[in-house]
Amino acid sequence: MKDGSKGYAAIEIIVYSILPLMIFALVPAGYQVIQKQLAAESVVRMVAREMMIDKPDNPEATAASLANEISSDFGYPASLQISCLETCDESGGWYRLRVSIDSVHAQKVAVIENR
Amino acid sequence: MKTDKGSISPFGIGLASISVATALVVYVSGMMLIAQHRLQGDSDLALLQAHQHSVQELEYAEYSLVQSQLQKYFQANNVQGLSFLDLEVEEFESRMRLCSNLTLPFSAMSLPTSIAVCAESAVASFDPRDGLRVQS
Repeated sequence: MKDGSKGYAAIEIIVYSILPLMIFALVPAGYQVIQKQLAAESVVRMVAREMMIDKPDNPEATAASLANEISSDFGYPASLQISCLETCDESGGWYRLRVSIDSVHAQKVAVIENR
Repeated sequence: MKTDKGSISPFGIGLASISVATALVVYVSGMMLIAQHRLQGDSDLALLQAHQHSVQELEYAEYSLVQSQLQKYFQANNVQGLSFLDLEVEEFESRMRLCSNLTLPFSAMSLPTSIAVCAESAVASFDPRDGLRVQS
């Protein structure tokens, strides 16, 4: 083997073997992100649904407690932010729920009417 | 390269192709799964809210009221790209099927860049006249 060929072979090994392995290594990380995103979507959807059906007197506390309870079932610690979108008073209102699991976020609107 | 024996190029090209294909499949299937999951959640919550609102106002579900509440909810929840919406409203039951276009980032590769994801939801309430559950 000439010196040039040796150099070329080294580049071949790097380009054709190490780079594909690096791409393969991204697959489990991508899978983890997908799992977390799906968990966040499920948690926020369940919390919004419970709030819309149960119409709690204290939406902020109820939403946080529900999010903790549900996210612990999924095995991912989630944090929830709740903000008022429209006419939030004693009778209800439109609330935006935002659930974060690590770097992924999911949000939904929960509507409580005629509490 | 032609003068060398035992080139790893065929193996390398095969491995590279498989790895890129695997990464693309995981990426696209993940995007589709998340989009479908998100649309299903939006659809369920929007129909629940619209049906509840109509039943509270009129004691039954009314098509135009459910439809206007759906639009209000979708706007509040920033649901965009809805391409199809089929709504059926009976007195105490509402059903909806909706589809959304998922845009894929492949425009430079001459591949299809849009895929439709769809969801179906149904909501039923009680008939206040006799207290019977109509459907669930």
